[in-house]
Amino acid sequence: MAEAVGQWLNQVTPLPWLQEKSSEGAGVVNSQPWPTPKAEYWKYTSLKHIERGGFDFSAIEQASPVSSEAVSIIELDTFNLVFVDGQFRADLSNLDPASPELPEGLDIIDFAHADAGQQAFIRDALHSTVQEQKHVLAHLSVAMLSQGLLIRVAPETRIEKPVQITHYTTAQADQKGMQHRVLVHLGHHAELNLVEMYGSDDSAHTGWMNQVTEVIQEPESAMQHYRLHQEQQAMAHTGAVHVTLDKQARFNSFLLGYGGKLKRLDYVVHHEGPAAECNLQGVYLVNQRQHFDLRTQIEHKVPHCLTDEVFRGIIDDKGLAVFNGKIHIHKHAQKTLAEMSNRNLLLSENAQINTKPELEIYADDVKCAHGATISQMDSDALVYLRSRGISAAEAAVMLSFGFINEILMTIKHPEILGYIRPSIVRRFGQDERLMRHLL
Amino acid sequence: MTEEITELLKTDYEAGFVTDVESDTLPPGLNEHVIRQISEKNGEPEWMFQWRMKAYESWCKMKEPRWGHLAYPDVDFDQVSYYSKPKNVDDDHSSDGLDPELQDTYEKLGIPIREQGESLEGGVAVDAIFDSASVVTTYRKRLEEAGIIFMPMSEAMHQHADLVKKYLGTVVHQNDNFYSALNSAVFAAGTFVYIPKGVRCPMELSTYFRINEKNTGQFERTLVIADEGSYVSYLEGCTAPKRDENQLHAAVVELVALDNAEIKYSTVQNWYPGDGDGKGGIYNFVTKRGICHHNAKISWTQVETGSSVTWKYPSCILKGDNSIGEFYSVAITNKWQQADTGTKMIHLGKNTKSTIISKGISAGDSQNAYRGLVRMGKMAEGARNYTQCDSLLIGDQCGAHTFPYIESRHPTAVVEHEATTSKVSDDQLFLCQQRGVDVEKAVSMIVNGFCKEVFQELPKEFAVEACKLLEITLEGSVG
Repeated sequence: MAEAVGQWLNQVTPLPWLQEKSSEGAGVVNSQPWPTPKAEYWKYTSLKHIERGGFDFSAIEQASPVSSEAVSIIELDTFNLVFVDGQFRADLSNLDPASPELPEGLDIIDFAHADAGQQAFIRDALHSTVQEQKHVLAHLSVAMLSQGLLIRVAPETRIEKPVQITHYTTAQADQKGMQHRVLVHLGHHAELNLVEMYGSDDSAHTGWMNQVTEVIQEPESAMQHYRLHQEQQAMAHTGAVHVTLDKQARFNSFLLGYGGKLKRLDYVVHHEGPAAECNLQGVYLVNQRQHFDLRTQIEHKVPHCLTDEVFRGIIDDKGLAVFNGKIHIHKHAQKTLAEMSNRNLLLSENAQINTKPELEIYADDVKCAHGATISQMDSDALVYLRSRGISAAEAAVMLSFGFINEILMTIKHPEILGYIRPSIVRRFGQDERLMRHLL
Repeated sequence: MTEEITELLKTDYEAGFVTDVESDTLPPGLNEHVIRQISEKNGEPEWMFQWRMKAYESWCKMKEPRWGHLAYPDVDFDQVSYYSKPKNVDDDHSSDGLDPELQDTYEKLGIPIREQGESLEGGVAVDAIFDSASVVTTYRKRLEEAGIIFMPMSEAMHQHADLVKKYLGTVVHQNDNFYSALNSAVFAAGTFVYIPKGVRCPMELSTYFRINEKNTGQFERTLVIADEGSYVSYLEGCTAPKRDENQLHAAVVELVALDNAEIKYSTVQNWYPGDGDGKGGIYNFVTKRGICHHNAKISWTQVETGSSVTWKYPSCILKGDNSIGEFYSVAITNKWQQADTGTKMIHLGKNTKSTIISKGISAGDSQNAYRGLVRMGKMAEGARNYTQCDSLLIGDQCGAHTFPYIESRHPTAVVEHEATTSKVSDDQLFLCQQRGVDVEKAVSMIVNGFCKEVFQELPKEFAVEACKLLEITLEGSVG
């Protein structure tokens, strides 16, 4: 265990009624060595930055001024809960999680304001999807749990309007440690759209966000999930999405990942009921000296389930990207269909990509395939564009944008596509002329 | 259907007999004294002993690697005898003076230990290794006339000390890993091959390994040097008797392909795989690696059918520009066998190319894993890799796994990786049966088709043997 862990634990006061969970979490963290790249699960990512960063988890006293445009997806009407530098901001949110006004069948409550029944539910369900010791940072998050959100959708309820959880950081977040938990429970045949958005202003502040979202889906429920990581590059983010799917439940997720000082995201999906479905899509864009590490782990424990994973990455400058996708098919998970594809575009001599698409299969009647490619831009396509009078720089922007555009086109909410497209385009084209074809 | 397949898989291991010969065996255990004795028995120069001791010292500090997808009880290294040599072996390694028991053994195994015919062209030269000693080396003198050195390692240390000193341990260092360190400390037999500049070796060179003595391990070391512009095709085969206890095999193979040279290295591994309950069998922990200089090519082809545990990653370091590395593998596991095998392609030079074709077949209660690394270094401009790993599952008690590591640090390097998993489908079997082909033949046909790309790479004699072996290994797994 790192010395720093003890200090962090001292800086927070866990919720008293979750004391037992917190001590258990602390126990798991303390029972194993602090992860280093020598451990297979952390092979290409060093946690030295957060271990030595001297992060302070105590609350921020003064709230920063933030415009409401910065924390919302303009064209999308959502139940928006906004946290700035780790603190809930009622002035920016359109919902008060202490006493929310919500449509029937939807519950959104801050852990601190949960009533006895909700407390009992949280005690029971929280951290139940984190099933392995190796998820050290998720265990750390429960050990330090001082704030969290419970989102519950009652059986047979369809919530059309998305729930949005926005974390925004400002210069106040310098050297700050922040943590947050989200626990989602979808009842039988329930449906929910959830947007998790991480952003920051342009100042180069160094904070660390350790966040875990848990999703528990009852039979036939459906969830459309977005996780948008757009924090500026000095930020560190270690996040995880742990999901359990019961019979015929569907989980769709889209990831947008911009690199940063240290960015790590774990998707862990457990297929626990037959005929469950999981679709993961996403793009990661890493440049300058940024880092992005994406891990997916899909556990097929029962027959007839489906997994489809497609991730694409573009790595430029001195960026380092890591993709590790694992599909584990347990002994009785016959008739599984699982596919995984990871394609990467390496644009600079100093950029680096490490990818490891893994399959672990213990059942014979399954169809599994994975593919991974690493390449640079197709020179034939470049020549084609240039022969039609398009400049080299413009052609490069068009081709690399085209590479990820295919994935972007799968986004279900056009408002979200409309929101992230300009942001991605800005990252590609340094000047207006280059962007004209993309917007 | 699966039951019929399973029934077909229950065959016997044909090479499982024991040869009754007297041998000179060291008591179990490993210490400095044992290493001194091995060195003395081989009549080695002092520098070789010092080299071994250096390896032994690093081995003592090392931990047994356990990262493989393998489950086996700890090996008690003090219970293994590290040296056993049959008595009555001639120093000149000719087949005439060979103990009749040993002659019989090789006849039964179908290994040609007598020189046949005058012409070298198209023939096979054999270095037959029995436990810790080389007992016969054929065509040695005639190859020597062509400048080709093909002899047991223990003799090369004296006769070609300069070459051995120059290259031994340069590709796989003494302390490269736990098992290479162990091998460096105690190796006895092994083959040394040197092909001079511009020479195309007219015949296949081969080594045949046989473990016989109880409680012994086999630790051989092979060093193949192909000088500039030369070519050699090298084959390797192996068997062991059926025993209830596990026996250890920890070999090291080093290949050096100098500028414009080509080495083709083929292995048909048929160690005793253990019985139907998972008892006995060879623990096969092998380090194989080759280095390619400018325009050189190394091609590994392996058919892995035996061993209860296989831990083996034949690798290529593509150091020179335009060099080529290839890896073709069929790994079949049945019963309680476990295999964690694959390759490493380290691209250092410009325009280096590598191809990996791996076919894993799991049946019975076995576990079969492909583990590979493709690394495109900072200078690997225009490098290219293509990897395909396919797994075939026969039965619902086995496992097939893929762990590919892909690392790229150069934008012009292109890496492609594909993997699929499937089973022998009922449709395919039905189609064959409809046309009058019985289940066993049908499965064998389907599996042979699955492995075709790899078998094509084997020298002709080996390809025939590999197909036969495949049928035998899979016998009883169909149903």
